[in-house]
Amino acid sequence: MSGHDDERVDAVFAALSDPTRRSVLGRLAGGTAASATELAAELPVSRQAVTKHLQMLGHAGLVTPTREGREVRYSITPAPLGDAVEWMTDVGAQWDRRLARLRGRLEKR
Amino acid sequence: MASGPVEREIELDAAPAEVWQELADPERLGDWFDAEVDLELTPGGTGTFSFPDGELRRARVVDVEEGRRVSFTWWTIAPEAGRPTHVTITVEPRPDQGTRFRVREAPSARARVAA
Repeated sequence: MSGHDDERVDAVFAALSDPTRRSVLGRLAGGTAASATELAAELPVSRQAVTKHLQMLGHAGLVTPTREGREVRYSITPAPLGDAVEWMTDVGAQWDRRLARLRGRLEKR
Repeated sequence: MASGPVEREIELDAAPAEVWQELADPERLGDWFDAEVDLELTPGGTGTFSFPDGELRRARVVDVEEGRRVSFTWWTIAPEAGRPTHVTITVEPRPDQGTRFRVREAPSARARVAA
């Protein structure tokens, strides 16, 4: 996995593994930043739960908080998704090569 | 995303027992992994994969269901240390005597963090 920020890639997959976090991302992908309170009003989860999910998304670099007065608003920062896709592409290509060689070996007999 | 970010499945014109040997025999495994492989295919077994480009990976077998399934964790130790990923390979018989061969690979920290 050299060449990637492995820890970040792990964090992205962990962040995306939860349906609520995917909903939060989907909502923020609409373009406008939102506060935890606004997100909790729109999604079937408590404000406390949304805050926790936002922390995990933040750890993965997928959302960025901005303070506006007394409120913290979150916006989507999709760049780490690209790193995760790159990891999947690389690892997938390695398996494609291995599986092609495996098939070749078995067909030679 | 339920099972792992990278998944592959192929159908092979060979009996499952024959395909299993491609996993269990380090020399055969090394041939299709394009690496020098030293791996003991038992739970807790350890091994190494050294690739022609100089990359060296260490592996630890997590689970083996003889003839059917193996899972291992592996990680690069040279040229620079990488994070471990978890690989599961499944060998399934097909009605036509052939084999369905499935692979999944995912960052191994994922299960822990996601819980």
